[in-house]
Amino acid sequence: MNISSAAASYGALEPVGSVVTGTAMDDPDDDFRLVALAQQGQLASYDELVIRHRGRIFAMIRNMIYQEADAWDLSQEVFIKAWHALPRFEAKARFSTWLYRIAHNAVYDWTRRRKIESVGELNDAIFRRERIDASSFTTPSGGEAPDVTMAQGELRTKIETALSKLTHEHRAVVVFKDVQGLAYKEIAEVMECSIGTVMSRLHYARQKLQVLLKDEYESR
Amino acid sequence: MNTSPDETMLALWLDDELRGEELAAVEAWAATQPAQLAARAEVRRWREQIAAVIPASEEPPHLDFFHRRVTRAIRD
Repeated sequence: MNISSAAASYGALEPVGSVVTGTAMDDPDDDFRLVALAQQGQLASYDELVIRHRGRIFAMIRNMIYQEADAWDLSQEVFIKAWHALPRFEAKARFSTWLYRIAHNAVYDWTRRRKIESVGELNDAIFRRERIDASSFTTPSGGEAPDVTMAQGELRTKIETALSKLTHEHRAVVVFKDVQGLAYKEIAEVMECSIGTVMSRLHYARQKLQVLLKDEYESR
Repeated sequence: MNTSPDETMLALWLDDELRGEELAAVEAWAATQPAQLAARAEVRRWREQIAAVIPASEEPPHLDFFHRRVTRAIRD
């Protein structure tokens, strides 16, 4: 891809905040159309892909690492890497699945770097609750009553705390399956493992979460 | 379905990923399996619960800056 000419053909990547992400992301055919145009150098088409997918990619990364600032940086890194890798994208999978794979690898690399920097060896201590960015929780939108909002905030905190105690692989399958809504097959493609492995990890992760969230389960 | 589904089919059924004939076959088997029906209900409750509090999509903050940095990196 000739990036110079592509950039010249389009003034700049302009954010379009009004675009609803998440719904457009479910239209793989339109993604393929935009990818084909982007592969020809149309930066405007790639911009549209970024707008469509940035919300889910940012949320997925944030739900994996609990650091908003780093999730923001990593999300950009994902879209920059995807642009450079776009000539090799062959539409064998959904564009969103391919992006998730890039994001998953970026999170994995980030996790390894952080673990090595923090303790000098690999362990899961980095995901202890006290390392979670205190400012990372957002107020649920949608006009809920204050008590409902508070209850949802508390539940989110409890779930995120429980998720933070899982290993990277177990947390990833829960985020991909239960938060992002990916199918087993897609998760296997993203995590580059078998469907059986995904099923096994998800089964274990949910069991572990059930134990960690025992009070929540018992109060229902 | 007269025999139990294999593990893969059962997992797909538990997570509502089956469609058509495969779904009908496992549903027919599961109709007499209260433990499996309860397990599926539990999975559904969990998915509803987590989806209600953890969004699948969240716009990154500072969108202008976000896009400017992506643009600059692509052009470089």
